[in-house]
Formats: sequence, structure tokens, C-alpha cells
Amino acid sequence: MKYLICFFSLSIVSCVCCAPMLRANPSTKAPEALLKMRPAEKVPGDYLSADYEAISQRYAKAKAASDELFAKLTENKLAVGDGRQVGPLAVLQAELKRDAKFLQLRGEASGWDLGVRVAELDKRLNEVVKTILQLPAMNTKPLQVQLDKSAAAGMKRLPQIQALIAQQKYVQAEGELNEVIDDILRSAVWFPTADLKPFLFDIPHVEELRRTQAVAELKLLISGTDVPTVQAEFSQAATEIGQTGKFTKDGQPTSGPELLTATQSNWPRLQAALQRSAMAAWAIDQITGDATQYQTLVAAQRQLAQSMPTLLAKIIQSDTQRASPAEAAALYPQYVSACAGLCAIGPRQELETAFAPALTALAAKAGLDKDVAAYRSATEPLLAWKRFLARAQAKRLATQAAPVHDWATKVCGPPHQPHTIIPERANIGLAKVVSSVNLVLPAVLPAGPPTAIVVSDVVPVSAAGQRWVARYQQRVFGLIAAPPAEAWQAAIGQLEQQLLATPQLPPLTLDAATALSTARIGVFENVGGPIEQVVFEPLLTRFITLPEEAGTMLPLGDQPQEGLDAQGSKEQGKFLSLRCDMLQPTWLQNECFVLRP
Amino acid sequence: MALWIWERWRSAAAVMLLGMLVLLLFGNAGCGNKQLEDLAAKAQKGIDQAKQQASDVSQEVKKSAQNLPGAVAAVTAGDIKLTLDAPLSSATCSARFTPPTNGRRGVLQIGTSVTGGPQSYPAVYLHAPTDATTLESLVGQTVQGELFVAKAESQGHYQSTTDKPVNVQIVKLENNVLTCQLQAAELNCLDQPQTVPVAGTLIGAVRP
Repeated sequence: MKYLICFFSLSIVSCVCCAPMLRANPSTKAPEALLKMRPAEKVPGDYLSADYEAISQRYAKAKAASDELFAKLTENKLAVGDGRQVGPLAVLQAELKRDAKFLQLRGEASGWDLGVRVAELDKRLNEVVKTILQLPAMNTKPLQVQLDKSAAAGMKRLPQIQALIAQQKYVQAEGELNEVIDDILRSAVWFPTADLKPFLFDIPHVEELRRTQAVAELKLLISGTDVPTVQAEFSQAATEIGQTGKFTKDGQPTSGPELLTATQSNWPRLQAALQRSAMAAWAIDQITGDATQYQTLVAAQRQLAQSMPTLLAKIIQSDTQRASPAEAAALYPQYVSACAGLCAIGPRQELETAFAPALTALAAKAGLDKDVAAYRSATEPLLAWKRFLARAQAKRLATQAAPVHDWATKVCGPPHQPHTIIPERANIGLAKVVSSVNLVLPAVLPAGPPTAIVVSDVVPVSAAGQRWVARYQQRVFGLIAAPPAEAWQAAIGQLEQQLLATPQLPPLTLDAATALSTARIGVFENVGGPIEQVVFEPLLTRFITLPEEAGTMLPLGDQPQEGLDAQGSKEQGKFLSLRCDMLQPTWLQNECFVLRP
Repeated sequence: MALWIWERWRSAAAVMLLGMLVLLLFGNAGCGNKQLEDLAAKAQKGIDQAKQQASDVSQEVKKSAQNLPGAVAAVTAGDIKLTLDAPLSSATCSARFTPPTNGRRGVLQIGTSVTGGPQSYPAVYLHAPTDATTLESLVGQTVQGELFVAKAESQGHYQSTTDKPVNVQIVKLENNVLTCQLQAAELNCLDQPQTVPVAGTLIGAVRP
């Protein structure tokens, strides 16, 4: 029950933190979009906020003005009149630099990407200013007058700013000071040697306040998932089922098979919550400069992942000890089916290793061991053949295609293109902001016939959904179109027949039941086809804002390894992940068959 | 053993080789065309001859089975002769019958291995669900099933089409050796989108 309450409370937290973001991440179709940022509470009185819409609009405005001026510059068409745009653009860029720094402080990849983008805009603006200043018709006198005026006005406001500092209204003070600086900057941009020293001083405590605020928000997410609570609940369930055959959950008595079946849909939610808290802890490490929160939390989660198969198998063992032979005979097919559902989407090998002895003991108690052995010998070679042929066929189909990670490593950096998101001597598994992503994305999917790509570990996003997902690993996941319905249904029907199964007579072995379960759920080992779109996402933020229903994008069990091998990277805030969309797969390989739309 | 079984099959093999020659002469590897149908018809003739000899062969299989250490003989002794786009044979074949239990259909399996997937090549496997209660009662009957063929580990893979299962006649069961006649059918080639005709015989010792 607590387990469910835990889910519920997490979903409230996730709703607060996952308010719909109106614009998408930057993609090959829209490279100029900014990387998403997690919505945040402001420090009271702060002029800065992680407002994706506002910052995006500011950036779009600056980019458009900069593009226009830079085009004129390269075509040698700059005129004195263009100077009117320079002051406002300088102010926009100053604002964006503050946004970038603020977002970096919050551990947002978006901040680092924006920082690189604005540095480029700055470079362009300096050239534009230099060129306009050299135009014969350029007269700087009125600008000098304006600069003197705004500097004098600024000097008058300084005491007021000092007063705010004295009242410990630090963020307000910084806001006022920046207003003064922006006003001066409008004309000072023309005078690179202008003396702005009186206005360039740090306001104390502002960064600390913003850090504290960010950390407090992230800590809320971590406290939502308590590893020992989850473990204790499964142990309690095993004990109760061993005594009465039922586990009372939400006031409802639940049988062992029912509990395992429920776990099939709850596990991705739990995984989402674990991943959220791991990434929140890592963001805290980035913000505070600590390096322990993430490691400690992930170690606890790893321990949970390792104990899950045993915790689940313990339920079957307890039930077996309690049940009469007749009860065991009724329970056996129910448990096989529930375990198969878990094996189909979970860490299969570990689960099978834990479930197999428990199910064997249950079958023995039920007097079904001979039936199970006969069924096994009637279906084992068939399954081996089907898997052999399906995997060999996929291997042949994949000879013309590149595995998605190899491909992404190739197209996201040199020598394929000058810009990159891949650090030197690394691969896509360590993707981070190096160049700004708007420069990298346009070259990722060049025009011409699309390259065929292979993704692996593909499951449906939701039971009723029309989208499948190549689960996240090594910074990459993929959205895949639904398999062809008719061929899929035919393949399921054929497999049922071959496995001598009907709704009343489900498979008797875990292996056969799992094979059928992967077919029915629509689990595919490999899928091939062209990639239509690539989206870059900020790694930490992608998972900190992960809704529970999106937990299906994560492999179940151990948390994904995220560049921990980079020996305590302090750059996790810059890390990126990729979404590769394959909307027209040309083949989908289940362990027992291959579908070709 | 393979050598003297080959003696018995020489005439059938000659027809198959002739078939291959025809295929080469026409220079067309595509399956399912007219030439191939002719080829299949010729191959079928050879198989019909083989069928007459099947009785002798199964006797010899039995004999050879007796000459081998018990368990091994029961597993491996046998003979498979198929004609796909080219003849295919194996001196390893065994069968297994699982009767229906508690309303669940039974199944007849026969092929190069009935304990797992392909272990050596060429590998052949037939899986035919049935409601017959004993293997003996299947003699003279025809069962429908799925046929799988792998000429090699990475290529030459075939399976019967979903909508057209293969028909297999259980010719006889003597001294625990099962003789099955695979009636002309079509297999999907998994290497490339095409179908090939198939026919042949499978003779194997029945595993417990």
C-alpha cells in the first residue's frame, strides 16, 4: 500500500515539476529552439527566472537581429542607420548572458548551450560595431552625450542600490544594478574603452540564494523515493501471502499473481521515480560542487535493482509453502503468466534465474512437474528455431544499417561536421554541450537518401498507445511507430498455435510464456529503418522532469550508467541525451518473428 | 553409414542433380517460376522412387541404430532428404511425439534435433501439433505443421508460410523408426523475399 502511496505522492511532485512546456527541445527540424529547462520557483523578488518561454523569445529576438546585421556585414551593406539596432541588441545579449549564467548555476545544460550561443552573437556584434564605426558618415558625438547622461543617471541610483544591499534585498539590488548597466550599455557598446567600473561590482549572496532555492526544489524530488520502503513493502507482501495467500493493499486483498501482475505496470513508474531522484541528486552535486549525493543514491538504487528479482520470487516461494496441492495447481499457471509479463519487460536473465526454481517448486507441489516437462520438450526446440531464424534474419537486415549509437557518434561531430556535442576521444555515450547545439543539429540529417539505422530494446510507450520506444541506453532513446497491426496479430496467433496455447490453456513453462508475452506486448529486440528526426535534450532535466507514465522509456532494473566512468565528472550539467525518431520502421524483430511493414 | 545409405539414394540423387543442372542451364536462381515448378516435379519423381525404397532405408536405419551405443543411436540415427532449390540431406534425424494432455494439443516433432535449435548444418525441423493420442494412430495420417530449414548458420534459412502450413504424411512406424513423407509445399526464404517449393522424406528414430 505504501508502495502505491509512494507512487501517488511522487505523481503530485511530478505534476508540479512537469508543468507542460510549450516548446520542444532543439531538433533537426527546429535547431534554433533552446534546450528545455525545468520550471522553478523564483527566489522572492528575483528578476531572473527559469522561464523557458521568456528566455526563448528573448533569444529568438536577439538571433533575428543579429542574423540581419551579420548578413549585411558579410555582404558589405552595413549603413549608419543599422546602428539603431546595435544598442538594443547589446542589451538583449547582456540579458541572455545573465539567463545563461543563472541556468548554469541551476545545473541546466540549457544554460551552457545558451552561453555558447550568446558568445557567438557577441563576437558578431563586435564586428558589426567595428565596421559601422569605420563608416565615413558615422558620428559618435550624440552617442557620447547619451553615454554621459545615462552614466550620470546611474551614479544617482547607486546609493539606492547600496541601501537595498544593506536591507539584505540582494536579488532586488542586483536587478536594479543591471537596469542601470543596461541603460548605459545601450550607448557604451560603441565605446569599447568606456569606463564602467563604478557599476561593475558583485552583489553578495545572490548566487548562494539561487543555489539554495534550486537545491531545495531538487531535494523534494529525492525524498519522494525511499529505497528501503520499496524493499520493505515487497518483503511484507511475501510474509502476508505466506500466511494468508493475500496481501492487503489499499484495503483490497491481493493475491500473489495479482501483485506480480500489478508490478509489471508499476515497475516502470518506480523506475521513473528512481531515475528522477538519481538525476536530481546529480544536479545537486553539480550545483553544490559536491560529488557524493548521486553516487550514494545510485548505490542504494543498484542494491534495490539487484534485490528485486529475489524479492519477487520470495512471494512465489511463500505462497508455495502455504498452498495445498490443489491450490498450487490453480496458482501455477497464474504465476507463470505473471512472471512472464515481468520477464518480457524486465531484466530477463536475472528474473528467470530467480523465478525458475520458485516455479519448479510450485509445479512439484501441484503435481504438474510431468506435464511441465512434457510441455517443455514439445516447445523448446520450436522456440529455439524461431529465435534462431528471427535473430539471423535481423542480423542480415542490419548488415545494410548502422547501430544508432555508432551512427549518432559519427554524425554529431568531426570529421562529419566541424561542430560537435562529443568530447574528444569519446562517443555519443558522453554527449555534452561543446559547440552550441543549433550549430550541430543542421548537419545531423543531411539531405539525400536516409541512412538505415538499427535501434534495440523496443517496447510500447503505453499499453494503449500508438508509439513504441527504443529504451534509453548510453544517452540515446528512440520513438518508433507502431508495428503493422495485421502482421503482428497474425504472428501472435501463429505463436499461440505453435506453443499449443489457448486463453484457457496458457503456456506451462516460463520460457514459452515469456516468448508469448513479448509477442503480445509488442517487445522487439531490434528495429530497423530511417531516422526522420533527432532531438537533443538536456540529460539531467529530461529525467528530473520525467513523468511516471514515461518510465517505459527506461530499461528496468539497474539505473543507466551515465559517464560515471569519466571519474567523477563535474560536468554532468552539460550532458545531453538524444531522441531519434523512427516513424517508418522497415522491419521489427521480436525474439520469435520479424515483422516487415 | 552415410555412404551406404547414399547407395540406396543414388537414383533419387541423380534426378536431383539433374534438377540442379536444369537450374544452372536456365541460369535463373529466382524461385517460384515455371522452370522451378518443372524442377520440383522432377524432384518429386525422384522422391517417389525414394519412397519405395524408404522401407529398406528405415530397416537400415534401425540396423545402424542397433550398432551404435543406445542413447546416441536413438538421438542421431536417421535420414533426411529434401529438395528445395537444391537437394539437401542429413544423416541425422530424430523424432519425438508428445501426446495431448488436459485438453492441450499434442505435437509431433521430427528433424535433425528435437531437443533444441539447429546444432549442425544443414538443420531441418518439423513441428506439427496434433490431437492424436498415440504416435501409432498417426500412421497413414497426414498432419499439418511448420517446417524450418537452415542450410548454414547465417544463411539459407527457410520456414513454411503462415497461411500455408506443410502437410506431412506419417508413412510408417517400425521398430521405433518413424518415416514421414513431406508433401509438396512452399517455404518462405528468409534471406530474400521469395518462396521455394519443397518436398522430401524424413526418417528418424523416436526419442522417448
